Amino acid sequence: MIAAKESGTSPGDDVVIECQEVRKTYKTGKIAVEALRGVDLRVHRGEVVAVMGPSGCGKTTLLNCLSGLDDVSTGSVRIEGKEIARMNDNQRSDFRALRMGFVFQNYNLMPVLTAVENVELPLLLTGNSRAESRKRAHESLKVMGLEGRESHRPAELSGGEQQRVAIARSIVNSPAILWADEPTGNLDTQTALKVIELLLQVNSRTGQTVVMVTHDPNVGKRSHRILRMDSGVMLAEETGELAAGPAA
Amino acid sequence: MAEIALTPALLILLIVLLVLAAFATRRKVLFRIGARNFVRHKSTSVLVVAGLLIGSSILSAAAVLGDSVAFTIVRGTYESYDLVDVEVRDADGLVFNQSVSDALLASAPLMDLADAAAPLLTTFAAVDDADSGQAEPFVAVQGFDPALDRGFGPFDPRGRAGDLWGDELNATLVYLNSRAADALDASEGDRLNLLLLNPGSPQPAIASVRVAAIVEDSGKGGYGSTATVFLRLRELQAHLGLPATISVVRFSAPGDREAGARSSGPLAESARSDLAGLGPAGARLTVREAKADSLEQAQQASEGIRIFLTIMGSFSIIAGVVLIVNIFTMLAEERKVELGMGRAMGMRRSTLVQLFVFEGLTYAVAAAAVGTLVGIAIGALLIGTLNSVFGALGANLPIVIAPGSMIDAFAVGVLLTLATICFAAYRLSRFNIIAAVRDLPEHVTEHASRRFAYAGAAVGVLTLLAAIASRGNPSIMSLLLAVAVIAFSVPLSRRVPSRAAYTAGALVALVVVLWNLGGQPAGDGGIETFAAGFIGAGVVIVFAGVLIVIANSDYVSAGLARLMAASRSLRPAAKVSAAYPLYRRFRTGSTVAMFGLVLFTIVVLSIFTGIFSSDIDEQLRDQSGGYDILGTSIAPVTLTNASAPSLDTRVERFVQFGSMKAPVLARGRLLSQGPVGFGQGGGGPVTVLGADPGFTSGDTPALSEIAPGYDRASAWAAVEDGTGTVLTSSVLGGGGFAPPGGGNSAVGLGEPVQINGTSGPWNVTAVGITQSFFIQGIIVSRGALLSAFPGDSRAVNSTFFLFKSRVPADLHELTHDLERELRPVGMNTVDLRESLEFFLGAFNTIFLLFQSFLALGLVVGIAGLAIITARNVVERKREIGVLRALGFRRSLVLKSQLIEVLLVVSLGVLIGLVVGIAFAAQLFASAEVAGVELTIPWDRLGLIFLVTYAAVLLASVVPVIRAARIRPSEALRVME
Repeated sequence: MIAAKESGTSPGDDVVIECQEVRKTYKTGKIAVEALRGVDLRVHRGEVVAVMGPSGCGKTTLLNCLSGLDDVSTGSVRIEGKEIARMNDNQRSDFRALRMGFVFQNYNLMPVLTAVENVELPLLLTGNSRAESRKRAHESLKVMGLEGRESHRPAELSGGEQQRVAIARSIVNSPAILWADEPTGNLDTQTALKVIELLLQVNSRTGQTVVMVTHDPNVGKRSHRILRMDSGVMLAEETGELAAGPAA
Repeated sequence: MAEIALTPALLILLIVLLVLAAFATRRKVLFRIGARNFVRHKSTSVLVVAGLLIGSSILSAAAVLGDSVAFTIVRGTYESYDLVDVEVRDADGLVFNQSVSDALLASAPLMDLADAAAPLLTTFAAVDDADSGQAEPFVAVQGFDPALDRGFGPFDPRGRAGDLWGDELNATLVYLNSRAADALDASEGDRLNLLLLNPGSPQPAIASVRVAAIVEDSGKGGYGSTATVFLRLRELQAHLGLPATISVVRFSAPGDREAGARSSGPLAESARSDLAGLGPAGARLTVREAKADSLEQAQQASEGIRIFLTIMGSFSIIAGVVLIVNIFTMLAEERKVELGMGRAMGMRRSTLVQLFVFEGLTYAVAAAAVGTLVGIAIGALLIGTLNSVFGALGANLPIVIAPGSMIDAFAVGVLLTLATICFAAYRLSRFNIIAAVRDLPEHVTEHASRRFAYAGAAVGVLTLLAAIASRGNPSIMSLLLAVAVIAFSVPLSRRVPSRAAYTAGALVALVVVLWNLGGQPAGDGGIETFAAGFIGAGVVIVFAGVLIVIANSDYVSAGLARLMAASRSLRPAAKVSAAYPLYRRFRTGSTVAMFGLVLFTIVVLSIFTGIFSSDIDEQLRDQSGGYDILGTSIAPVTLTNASAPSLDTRVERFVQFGSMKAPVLARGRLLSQGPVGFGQGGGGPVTVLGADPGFTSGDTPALSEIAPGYDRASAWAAVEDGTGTVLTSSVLGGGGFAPPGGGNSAVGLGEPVQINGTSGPWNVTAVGITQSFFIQGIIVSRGALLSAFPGDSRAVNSTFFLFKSRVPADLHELTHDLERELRPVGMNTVDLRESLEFFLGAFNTIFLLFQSFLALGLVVGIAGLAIITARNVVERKREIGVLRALGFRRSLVLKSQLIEVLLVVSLGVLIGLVVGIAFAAQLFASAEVAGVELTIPWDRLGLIFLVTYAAVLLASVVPVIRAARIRPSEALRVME
């Protein structure tokens, strides 16, 4: 089992994500493809973990299974001590709404909503009033440096700005875990690094656990741990820059 | 019946297909891709074809109904006239001297053009079969000359072989046709008593005859298409005391009955020329190509029905066109990336248009073919319903499917679809290549593009010029002005905020159209003109309403969000579902317009259906003053309670009228009693009814219009004191079935109406107009009638009666008993309550049929919305995945999709309702339907809306559930 190392930075002692012998098999007609082949993993609260590997190695599948977006074929996934597989669809949805945030490669903002409306959506979902939601969404956008861009729709924002809106949306509800699937995949190097720094600032400020999937070594190293995957299995674990102390 | 001919639509289609074939030969690859797309996406193709078939189905349904009516009229014409092609009659239907017939028959040039010619005397009689005990109060009687009539062929005896020529008839022997025999339950040898209406005298004649034979209703026995007794001419003349008197001279043109109709022109012309040579004897006589005219009317009726139904269905056709644009917009959206890649690789816009048109051609042909078949089924359904409603009157429309009409409907359907696809393809070819390749949403600009602004300005200038040119026609001018104003708001939106430009433009357009409706003068032009105006005004105000809503969509969105803010669970769903439709303004606007148009027509039609109350007692009060039996007698008589036992015991009250035909003038124009139908008649005698005091002082028929200074009571009081007259709609050219108030320009209320009686002109003031179906003519007091016609027995006594039964349930029996008890005077009765019930039932059924026909558009709208929802789910799979990732439960995704569907429908319903009511209110305020109170049938509308929502939910439920079941990881994998 690959366990989080005590790094002396933000990670705490308690385990927020724990999976054992997770397998995931896709069936297309008579062909079965095993995307995950017995993955074990433990992530501590406040830890930033980068999952790296070649295309098709199962990184996104792992993230989907851990976050409850997809079912595992066999094995166990526990988030904050709760077995995801035992939750029904509604419980999983509520759990995601309250305890998780997502950042995707393609930003995945709702094109019909403005920046502030995109950000306030998770707050409305968790029962906050319209006024409260709007206030917190503005604050979140401000933290991301998007003051003045609140009423713009995604199509009117640059890629970097859209990803910052996506991060604002993912953290506005103060979730315990932030899942990031290739968060810099569509960005140039400079913008990518800025976006990663924003994610790390969030992590250091709020202590949220960040699990990101990436194949960019420059992004991957900005973590406490780097997990190497190939062909659906964890191959190795490396220490990231954050494990050594504050970001360089 | 229509024949297969190269109609303009078919010709254009052939040319278009040839042009497309030429393009396809040059660009085989594009054609192959287009055709393959049709086969590749089978479910999409089925949906698209279903959405596109409405135009053809409406056109072919209209054609089936039109052809069936035409076929029936043609069949009826041949049955009624058989070999008779030309008739010479008195202009006012009076009898004339037989010397005219003798002179015409002696004219060699005329007879050279005729196969046969013979005089005929016609009248009516109350007939009593002494053997069967049955009586019939109103039977046609024809007196013919057997020798001269041979050219028109024999009678066909019922139930036995051989021909009858009338040779055996004499003073006491007659033929009965089957209709008369069935009504009288008569057999050969039965003794009949005839009370003959005498065209030359107020007093009827009496004859006792015996049935020599019963003849079939076909051929000569069917002339007039009614129950008939056939006598020898000279015997009928003797019975009536009218020697050498006839009613008509009939001619048969060369050839059989079809050929005769085609060749009757020279014969009629020759007869006119001969009549002109007869001097005063022929002056009042008219020559009519009876069969050819009737066949032409059949053609006109067929065309009229086809045009009317097509116009009524055009809202659905327009809705279908909007749907086509929507469907193609979505198809393009779905293939955005591949189209973008094509453009990136150097594909021209024109090539993209061709690609869409080639694909669209397969859809258009398939949809038109299926649509034509669906239309045939709809036509058959309409005919079946009409037959069931009017079966009691002997109506039996056959289902006629004329290949020519069907091919025409198919051709127009293909062209309509193809034209719309070309427009949609052109629009869709203009996209941002980068956004398409990267599958990013198109940037939505607030202001109109320069090109769009120029187009708007050009349309504005053109329609403004057209409006100025059509200032003689206020309806057309107002419509063109409204279009011009909306068009000018496009360039204006580049100068001022687009919300202000479009809202102001649409509001002005709305006001212009509605204001014109309200101020519309009473006009002529018939139902087709009305329907065309209805379509034009309807389309413009619905689109203006949609424009206002779409231009202010952010307020609508905010309003909805605020509305749902109260529900914690619906808040996030409302946020998303209100944003989507109002972000895609074109798609939403066109869908809303689709629903708005259809609902608008249904709302307006429902309001108009409500003009006639279904309360029979109220209708009876309005139509006859509460009397429930109408009677007409052949002999003038003054009834007393002692005249018949039923009058004394079972009739609560009755009123009698003297009835005279007289020339009547108003504003110097000779009025006429118009036939049933629309339009002003020519001059001629009008029935003047002299009412006894009981009629004008008790319950009186409702007055749709009253002269200034009068009210209902004082108007009838003026009739009673001999100074006033109430005119019925038949005198106004409406025949009792005209739209209220229509076409009365010849009679000014408050002005004198001159009755030319035997004592000279008699003036009364026109104090009111009644729309009574049953009282036809002009109503004056008995005293006034007697003053105009002193001593005339038809003024002194009565031939027109109204009875009020003590017990409504007794009506059926009472009508029979009154006829039996008053048989000596030839009393014929009509159960007004039953007639009204039948009329209202038929009226409501016809309106229901029209509504159902219009509701086809609703089916289009609902199917369209289902298609749009289904495509939305595919198109938005990733967004749904994101929502699920953010924590949206399945139920919330479902709610969000449903709210979106319902929002679009509700906007359409709301616009349809508001503009429909505004339209109807303005129309009711206009002179066209003055005096009729606007009543909104909320119960009926509520039911329609309920059905609409239920159908929308039912149609959307599958795609919506599919959306809710999308697995987030699968949806996100679409792009990750």
